[in-house]
Amino acid sequence: MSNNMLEINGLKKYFPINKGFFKKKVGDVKAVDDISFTLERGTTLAIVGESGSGKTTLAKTIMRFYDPTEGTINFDDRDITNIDQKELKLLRQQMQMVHQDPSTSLNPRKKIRDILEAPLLIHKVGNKQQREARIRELINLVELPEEFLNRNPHSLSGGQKQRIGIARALALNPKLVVLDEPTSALDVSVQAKIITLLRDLQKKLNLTYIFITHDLSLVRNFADQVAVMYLGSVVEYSDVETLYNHPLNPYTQSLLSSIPVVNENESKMLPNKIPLEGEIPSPTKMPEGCKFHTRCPYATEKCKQRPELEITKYGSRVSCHFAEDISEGKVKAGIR
Amino acid sequence: MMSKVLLSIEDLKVHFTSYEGTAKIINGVNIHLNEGEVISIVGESGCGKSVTVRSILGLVPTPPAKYVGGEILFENRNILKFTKDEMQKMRGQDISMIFQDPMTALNPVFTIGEQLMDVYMWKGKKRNILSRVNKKLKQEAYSRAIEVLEKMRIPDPTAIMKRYPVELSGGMRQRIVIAMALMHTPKLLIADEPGTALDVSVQDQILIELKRLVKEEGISMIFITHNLGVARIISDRVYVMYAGEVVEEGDAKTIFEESYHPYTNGLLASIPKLDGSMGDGIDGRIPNFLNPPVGCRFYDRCTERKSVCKDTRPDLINLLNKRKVACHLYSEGRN
Repeated sequence: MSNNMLEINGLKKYFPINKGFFKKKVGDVKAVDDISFTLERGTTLAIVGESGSGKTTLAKTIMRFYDPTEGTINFDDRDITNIDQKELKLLRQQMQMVHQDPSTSLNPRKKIRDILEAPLLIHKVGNKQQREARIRELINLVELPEEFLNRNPHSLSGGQKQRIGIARALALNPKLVVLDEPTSALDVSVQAKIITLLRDLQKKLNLTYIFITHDLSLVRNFADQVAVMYLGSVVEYSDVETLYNHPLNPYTQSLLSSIPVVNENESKMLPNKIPLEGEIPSPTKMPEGCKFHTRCPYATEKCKQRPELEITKYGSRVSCHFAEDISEGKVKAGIR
Repeated sequence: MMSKVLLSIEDLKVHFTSYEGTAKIINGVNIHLNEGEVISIVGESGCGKSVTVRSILGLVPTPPAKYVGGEILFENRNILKFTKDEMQKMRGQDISMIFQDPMTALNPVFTIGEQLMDVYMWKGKKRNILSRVNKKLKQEAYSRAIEVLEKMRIPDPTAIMKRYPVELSGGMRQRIVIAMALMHTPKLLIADEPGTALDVSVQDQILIELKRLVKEEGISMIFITHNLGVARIISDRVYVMYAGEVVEEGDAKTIFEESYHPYTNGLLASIPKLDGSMGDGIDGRIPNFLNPPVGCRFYDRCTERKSVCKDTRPDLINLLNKRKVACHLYSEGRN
């Protein structure tokens, strides 16, 4: 058994654009464009990026909700890139997902008990008593009282609903859990509770997390590794400490600099303000060369060529022609 | 120099009638806003911040809502006593509002231009089918719309005017919604969580633009948000609300450096910090409004509660440095 839960190599997911009467293929939306990384057991990888950067598509491709266009996925020392539906169903016991909005991801007409029993029934686990025991175990695991089992989702608060969402994902003892912005619909005081719970569960059950988010301050508190995505590519990949202390890609820097912080001490920890112009371009009209060059304040002629992910002196992998120059202040913004 | 008070909400109490009984949602809120000032109201969902500001515009439907006490004074006139016509005249002209979700605040079947110009051309008269469109007014509205769009630094305003909302990105739509609120250069602008539906980088751009515009035009603003960091960036003063009451008030620069109320403390601790620290959050949930606690409404969740908190409601008292807090742990004039 190797130390890696997940090994992704050159993963691509293209969605065809069809036009005209015969639905002729005219191009591709490159939602996931050549991504490689490894994820160790029991650790957390955060995927950060603006909406439309392909975070969720990447996670869903890894879970094989989508068939990858190219590349390989190794999950738990096994190539799962091309396995068939039957095997996939068995595999899904090992990888589960917690969805973004707890009010829409729980069936309002079912009791909490039925919601938690559903994954056990689908995968034909145990008999009636065993299932009931498992349901009780689960609800205790997420620190909710057992009488909640007879309630409907609408009588629960947002935080409680999300706890049910987590319990459902854990029902089959998965090894990998994908958390798709699990706290974005919740208040901060509740968010802190859910994050603490997720951390405890990770320790207790030795879970591996993929944590999708756009909240960079949360990443610092939760993840071990961070992948910053922009238009389907990873532009910076490093461990959390390095990312916050030495962000090298201009996109990462600008994302960090726009975090609204609550006190002076914290604002000192942020990089200098990098104004971003405009918004993320449409993935159907992907910019040539470096995908970020249309909004980058440092962009020059050289940026018309695609930069590779290269290892920097801090150990992170960054795709930018000027990564180290920018960090040493050799290049100034605004010269085009 | 003492600046003039533009709006003051005095001891506002709002109840909602429901099937199960009367929900006492807003329980004596005091908020005042000087001319040219920007204040924020922060609090979690269900704390009554939206009901409070929507009351200013008369946007809370009555019934179910019932104003049982207090008054809202805008330029020394009580808004709650306004007739329907007076209210309609004030909306959009003196006071306007930026709504939360730019996806739903715009009408999908009209172009941006039509929607912006409508706001300008509406002068309190109902249009009947035979009345002619005033060409001069339309011309004026068009040039005003272009002017506002230029002020918002929207590239190529003439082209944007012909577009439909679906053709624009989220950030651009939010800018349009802001532009719409500025068509008449209101005296008071109410912003209900603009930018929360957007990415941080786009939200940041929009906040910068909004702050600049408000200062340039001398507009006073009430900014509602649940993000304390955003409140700190945009406003001069901050009100923290919990369960229909103001629990703490203070300068935006100092309130988060040193907070007094246990709720504010808990809220601040819950925010994930950049140095990697984060508190455990606040236990429990907001009280039942049908049968709220008689004393402090935070009693059930408070970590520093005393016996006095259960039965006596704490008043908002003055501390030193213009700080106000509603908590029994502190006494008047102390720090």
